[in-house]
Amino acid sequence: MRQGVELEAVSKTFRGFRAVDGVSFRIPEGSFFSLLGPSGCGKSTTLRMLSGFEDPDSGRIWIGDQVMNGVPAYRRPTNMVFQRWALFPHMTAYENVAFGPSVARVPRADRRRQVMEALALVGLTDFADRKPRQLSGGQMQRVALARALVNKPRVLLLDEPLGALDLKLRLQMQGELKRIQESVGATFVYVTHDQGEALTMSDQVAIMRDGRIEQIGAPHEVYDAPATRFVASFLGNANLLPVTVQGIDGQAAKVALGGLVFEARVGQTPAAGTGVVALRYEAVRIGAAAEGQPVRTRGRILEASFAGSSVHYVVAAEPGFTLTVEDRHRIDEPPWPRGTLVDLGWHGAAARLFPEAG
Amino acid sequence: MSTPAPRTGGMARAAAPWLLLLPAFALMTYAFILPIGSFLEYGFYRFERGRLIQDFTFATYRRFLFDPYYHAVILDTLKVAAIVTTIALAVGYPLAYGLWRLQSPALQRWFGLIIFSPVLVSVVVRSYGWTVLLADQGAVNWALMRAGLIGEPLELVYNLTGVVISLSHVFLPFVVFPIYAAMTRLDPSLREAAMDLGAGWWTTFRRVTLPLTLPGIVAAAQIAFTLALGALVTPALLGGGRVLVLPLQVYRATSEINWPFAAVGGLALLLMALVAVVLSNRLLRYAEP
Ligand SMILES: Nc1ncnc2c1ncn2[C@@H]1O[C@H](COP(=O)(O)OP(=O)(O)O)[C@@H](O)[C@H]1O
Ligand SMILES: [Mg+2]
Repeated sequence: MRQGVELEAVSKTFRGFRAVDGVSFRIPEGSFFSLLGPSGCGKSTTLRMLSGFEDPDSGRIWIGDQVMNGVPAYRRPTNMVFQRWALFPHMTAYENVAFGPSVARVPRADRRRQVMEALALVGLTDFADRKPRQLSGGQMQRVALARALVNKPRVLLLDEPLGALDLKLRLQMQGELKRIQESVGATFVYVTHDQGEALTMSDQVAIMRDGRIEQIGAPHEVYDAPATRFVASFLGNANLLPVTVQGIDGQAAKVALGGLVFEARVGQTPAAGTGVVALRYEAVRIGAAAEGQPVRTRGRILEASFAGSSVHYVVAAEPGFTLTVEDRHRIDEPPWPRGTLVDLGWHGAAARLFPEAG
Repeated sequence: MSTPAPRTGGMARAAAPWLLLLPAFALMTYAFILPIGSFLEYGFYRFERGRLIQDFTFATYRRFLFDPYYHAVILDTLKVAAIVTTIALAVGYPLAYGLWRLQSPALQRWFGLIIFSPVLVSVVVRSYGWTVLLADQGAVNWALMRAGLIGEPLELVYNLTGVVISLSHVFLPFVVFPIYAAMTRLDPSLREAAMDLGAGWWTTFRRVTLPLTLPGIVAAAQIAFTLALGALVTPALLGGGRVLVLPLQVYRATSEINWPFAAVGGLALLLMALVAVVLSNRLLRYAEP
């Protein structure tokens, strides 16, 4: 008995352009799954194949134990929250939410109760009689969510639903979406190009690039152990340092960066004797904190930029390379001025080796 | 600390729209408002034994308002306009929908041109074309008889039917394009949202596409109705003397230099068109999201 959502080698081509290229993944029933990637990488197309708006050229889509290929959108156990919400402009919030139940011929009394419950779930009971143009962006977003959830979909599809909201509202909605997902228990498939959203809300994240999936895993897994150079540079901020590889032994590699030789984890084995080491800004310790770290060196601060909770330093390391470091800002400790000589250090596990290209 | 905007530029900018509207105002005054003024004046004159008598009387208005013959004319005029509008909409809406749903832009351009083509042909040529097609031995009757649908030729021309067919044909582009424009303004994700919520094609059409294209329909109806009210040549050539719409009567009056009647008839036409426009604008406000 199959469960959840499953894609098997799904591809979609638009006039010779492969928008989705052999994508496979499995989403456990009732979990929060994100498709994360830069704009144009095929996220929406994948979602639209799940909703039934596009049919895959090849591959199979399962929801539960049923193959969805060829099943029209209106017969799938999915509902969608559209990128710009797509509320019916001639209907009130109530009528928008009631659209699904009325199409499904839910009896009038039940319908009213269901609609009011859905509006209550998103906190919009007082706005039931407003037309979309009388609602703010955040409220329209909630109506769109209620309109989808009222149908009790097995799978809820969300295409960058927070993209048009301002930052504060976006952060608040992230929390609410997660809460709503847990309370309704449906499988959520969430498309976004915003890594913050994906990492905060998801049980699992799939990182997409050029129509393919680069890596799937829990947020902390993909963040800590990126499988490709693309993932390492796409998630968070990483220094990409060109190194010569002196030897590889299983998961450990000995690399040389200028005059500094140290051990790094192997992300992906490089073909030739050179590669790139990805080292996150915040994985590098600076000053006294560098003491006791397995990899040690020194450098002179070239630039310091203060960003409130953190300080970014660009440091010219003595072995002959440049490094960006993110240091936590502590109260009463002003950032070091330019030209200061500082200690640097990091843990070998924080540095990951990848091939130069890719 | 903020400095006020420079005054001179502001003045010029405020005057600019009025300056641009000036030619239109001038034209309207000369070609519309002044003639209407003289219409009003002539309507109070008298016409007796082929002569215009310039005294002040309500005689023409009285005749127009109380003579059953003119009631019949006005009713006929409204009827023709209403039937033509209905048929043009009934044919035009599906046509606009089909044009909108066409996948290929090249096909869309070609079909658009075909729909536009009646307007490119002179009204006289078009009317004679229809006489030939709709005659007893014409292509339409021939095809219907061959198909066994009718035993005898239908009377399709030199009566109301011929006028209605020809007018609906030529007004088609004026109906299709406003509706088509309303359709292209629709957010395509609205139809997807409806289908996503379980609606099939028909429900999506009835509850989303149709209500949201209502402004286009109202605009189209307004154009077709007012154009049909004023149609003269087609009823004259295809009506066979049996379709006595008001413009024909006005035309006949002018050729008899019966200016008082022409003036009153013209004002009546203007009034009917105005009522149609006001009513449809009311409808439009109602149809707004
Ligand atoms: N209907 C379509 N016709 C042609 N190309 C399309 C169509 N839909 C998407 N594409 C192309 O497919 C690629 C992936 O699009 P999309 O899935 O929307 O990306 P994302 O949502 O990740 O930004 C883009 O290059 C886009 O231009
Ligand atoms: Mg997209």
